[in-house]
Amino acid sequence: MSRIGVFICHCGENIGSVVDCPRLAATLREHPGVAYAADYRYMCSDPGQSLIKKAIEEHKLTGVVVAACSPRMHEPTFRNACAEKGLNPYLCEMANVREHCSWVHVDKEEATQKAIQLTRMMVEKVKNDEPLRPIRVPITKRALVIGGGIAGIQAALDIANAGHEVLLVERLPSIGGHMAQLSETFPTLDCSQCIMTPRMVEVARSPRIKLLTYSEVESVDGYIGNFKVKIRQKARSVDMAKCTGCGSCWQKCPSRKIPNEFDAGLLVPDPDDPKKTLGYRTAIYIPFPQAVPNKPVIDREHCLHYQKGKCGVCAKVCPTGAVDYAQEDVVVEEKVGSVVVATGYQVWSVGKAAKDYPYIGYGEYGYGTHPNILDGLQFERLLSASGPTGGRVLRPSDGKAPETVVFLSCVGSRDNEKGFTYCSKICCMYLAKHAMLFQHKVHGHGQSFNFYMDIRAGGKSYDEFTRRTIEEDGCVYLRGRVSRIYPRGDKLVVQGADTLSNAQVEIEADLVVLATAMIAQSDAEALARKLKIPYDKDRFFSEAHPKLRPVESQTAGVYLAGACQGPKDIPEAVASASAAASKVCALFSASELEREPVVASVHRAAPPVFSICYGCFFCERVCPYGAIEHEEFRDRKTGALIKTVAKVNEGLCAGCGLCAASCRANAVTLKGFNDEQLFAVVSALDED
Amino acid sequence: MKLGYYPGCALKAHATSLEYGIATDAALKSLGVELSEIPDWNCCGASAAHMTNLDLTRALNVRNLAIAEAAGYTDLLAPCPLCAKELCLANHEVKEDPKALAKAQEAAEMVYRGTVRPITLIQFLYEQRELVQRKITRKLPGIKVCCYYGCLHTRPKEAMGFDDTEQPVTLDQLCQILGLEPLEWSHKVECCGAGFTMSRSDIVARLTGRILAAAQLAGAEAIVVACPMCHANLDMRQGEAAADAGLGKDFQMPIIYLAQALGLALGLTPEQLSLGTHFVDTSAFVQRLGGEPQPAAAARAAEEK
Amino acid sequence: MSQPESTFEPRITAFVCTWCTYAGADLAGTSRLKYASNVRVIRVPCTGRVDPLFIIKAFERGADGVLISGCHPGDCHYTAGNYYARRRWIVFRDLLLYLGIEPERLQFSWVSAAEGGKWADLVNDVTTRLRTLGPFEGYRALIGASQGPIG
Repeated sequence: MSRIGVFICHCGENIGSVVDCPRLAATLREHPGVAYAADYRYMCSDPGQSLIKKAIEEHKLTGVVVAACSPRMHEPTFRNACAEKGLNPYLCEMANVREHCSWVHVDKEEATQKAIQLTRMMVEKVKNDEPLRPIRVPITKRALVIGGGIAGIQAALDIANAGHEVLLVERLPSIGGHMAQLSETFPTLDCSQCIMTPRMVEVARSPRIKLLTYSEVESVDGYIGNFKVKIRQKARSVDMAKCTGCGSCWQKCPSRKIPNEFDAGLLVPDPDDPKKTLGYRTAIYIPFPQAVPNKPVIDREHCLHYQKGKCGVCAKVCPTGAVDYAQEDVVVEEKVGSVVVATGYQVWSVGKAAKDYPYIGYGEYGYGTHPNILDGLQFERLLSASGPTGGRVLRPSDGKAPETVVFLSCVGSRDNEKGFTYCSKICCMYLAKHAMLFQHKVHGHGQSFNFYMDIRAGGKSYDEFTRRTIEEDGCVYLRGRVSRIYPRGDKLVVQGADTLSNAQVEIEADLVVLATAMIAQSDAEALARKLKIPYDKDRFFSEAHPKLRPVESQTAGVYLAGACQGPKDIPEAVASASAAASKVCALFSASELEREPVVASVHRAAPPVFSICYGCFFCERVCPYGAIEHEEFRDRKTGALIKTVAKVNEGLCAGCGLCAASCRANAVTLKGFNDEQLFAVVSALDED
Repeated sequence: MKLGYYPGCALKAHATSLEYGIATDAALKSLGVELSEIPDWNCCGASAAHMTNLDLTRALNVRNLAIAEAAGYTDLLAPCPLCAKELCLANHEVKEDPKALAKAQEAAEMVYRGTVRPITLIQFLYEQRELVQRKITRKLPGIKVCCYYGCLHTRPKEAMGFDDTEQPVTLDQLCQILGLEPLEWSHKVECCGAGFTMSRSDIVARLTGRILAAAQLAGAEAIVVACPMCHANLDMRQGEAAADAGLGKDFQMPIIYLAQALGLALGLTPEQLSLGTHFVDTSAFVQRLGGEPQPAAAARAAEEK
Repeated sequence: MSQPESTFEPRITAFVCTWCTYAGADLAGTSRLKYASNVRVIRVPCTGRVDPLFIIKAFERGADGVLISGCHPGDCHYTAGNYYARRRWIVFRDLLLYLGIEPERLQFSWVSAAEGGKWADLVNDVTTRLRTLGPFEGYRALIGASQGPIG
């Protein structure tokens, strides 16, 4: 006989001001099978939970329904409370009368009627619930970190220092990401590479971190604690064991006219040698001098040996014979217990049809065709001592030093028309930095301007930094947008507005820097599908809860670190990486993982029936996890095969229920959402 | 080929740009296109209506479109882009909003089923560029020109739906087919001041001055346009523009209609294309063709004095 | 408006998946969007769990319309559950017709966890459409005659 307790939460005013909670309690009290019903202001609070526990004891409840917020919010809270009093937690359900009712309806009578029905539905479900025990699975105490930028590096180091093994996968030949491309970082003007390279080296030296560079994740299968990943190690054409990083190969490589990706497409005529252009690399190359690992890779698309069957100089000059033209990609399979995604961002290109994105660039700024209109990352390379010009600020059109530089904020960000609606967060700060560094480098022989909409400088010492740029370094800040940039002779005319003095402004610039939007990687969607994690409209990966769970994805065991989750600066990326690492360590701190027992199960009975399953294995075909196995029933005396039926592997089953819905014999049930429960819920709607 | 034709007040009725109407008629006839003016067309509202009453503007244009539909045309050529924009925008709006259509139909006292496509001259010729290629008899000898699209050919994007709004290329490509040499320049789509020519001619002088200066800097011998408003502003005020810019001498930049360039390439004479009626003397341009010079209207007027 | 033309308010049963649509509906709630109160949500782990019989039962037990909503193609938390659900309905449609249930009363849609607005619009659209379609009489009258009370 059912003795169900119904507990209605007012949630302060959130539910109570729209739904008539006392009436809801009174109505449910009369519902068949309900032994106790009460309403209270905050069910999730300690006194609220005590109310439930007391009622379980006093009224000998066989099930509990809490009509309150979404089960995605507090189902674990109430289930734990029930478990403490000996009531199996899976006999506790929640009716969502807040997110799905009081918060979205205005008419109180309608909302109350709906709340009554929703609560009744869950009472009927609980009547058909059965107690379930959690499944225990072992945890592989190894973490996979995808992406070797500052976030990935931080996460890998934190997890390794906590005593666990880490597999760090990076698709470029070296770790370091975008931070390695920066000259100096705000607000301290620390040299980016100087603060980062010790960390990079630490990663390389750590005995617990296995570093796979020039590699990409091909597939991820399994579930939290038990992932199986396939990683493709792309062929470097260099034997890493033999190579010493001496550099003889790239010094002798004859293919010297390949734009260096690390310099973000920046090419500048050498001011000291009119025939030379700076910003190229060779076909066998390391991306930058401090690369980790400090061993080269051959760019097969530009290498004479692969393209034309000629050359072969690098193999000849290599003292250890490390060049291996026959090397092929290798796909390895690894087992890990959790995944940290730290794949970072890219800078939006303002070219006509930005690669892989449907957004068309800024025609009023020339669609990226003019060499003296740069994006933020390119200007960073110009400023950088390790950049193509050695840190001299020169114009890409003619190699001359610019006197007037104009910076534009918000190119593509905060734009509903042709860009992205969000704010990219870092641009106000890095433009201030760029202006400051430019003014320092030109020692008074130059003037910078910054067209801005707002100045977003919220971090520690950030506002002081931007004020220095304006007050001490003399950058002229103009509050207004630029409507057009066009060439006139060898200058660029920048037409904009200064709204604070209500004037149109026209500046003849030598160089223009656009702060283009910080956007998700081109293959973010593909990676999200491999990991089965959701992403938002801008292809940033979605966190489990925007306020309280910023580093967990919605898939258990997969965590998010850095800018792949949304625009952020370096301190925030580092913080989120450490946070993700702490989640991984918490996971690894248990010896076993308890899995939710919402799994499928195939009917079993005594011989001679064994099971009403007749072995069609349609369930096997639809199962996305390969969790259906074959079980044979044999005659005990003769060993002859009687029948082969389906069996669910509870470790692999994820609880989707496709098998249950597909089984023609109705032999498969999904615990927690079986047919009886769902029919009961649907039938409960008839009452009014 | 028969094409529905909406000349508008500039090309016919008030004929404020009579030379454009004459040139368009002559050139398209020579191309083998029969322009069939739709009957009883009314004003498109581009001057006063579109700024004062949107419902009226929509109704005016739905009526024009309904007339074209009833006459059996699917394409309606409107060589003046101001008219074309009003027709295209009304067409777009009534397709999106059935209530707006109902209101416009009621005011126009006609039914419109949405089957007509209004297009500009550039768009029409671009779509027919193979025909143009075949029909030209004399390739214009590589005269350097700057193609000026003005503000309306490609904007508003949802209504016009043609070419790129900031860096369009279709007029340049057409000029190339005709044998001209279109130059890269910075003011393809910059505003000339449009209707302010009546109320604030100083603004027009400044804005056209910039356009003319940019064309001059690029090395143009002429500016090619496809809009009577652009033509009027660029052609009529070159003296004022030069004065405003503080230049010692006048620009003397011939402003040529696309229709005129097309006509010349099809073998028509400058007289047939009304090249002698511009404010700025076009004889330098005509001479480059290898033909005889035409005294400009202003020069003629000066002679008569 | 002098008086309402009809007071018919359709009852809609919605089967939604935990990971996408249920979360999207929660987001509509946290965003305080307002929509019609005619829908009753039944949570399932995946739309692939929804058995055709649940739908028939829903119609039999008072629903004027049924809505099934899951993750966008390619984004199913369980990889392909939503595809199977969708394919099932294409086959199921004929059965619905045979049973005398207009297929317009059954709607399939994709709502992701970030689409609170889309959920609200969906509920409003389905409610408006069903108001026009009218109450589902179907074979309910027949079954109703032999149905006992719920216990």
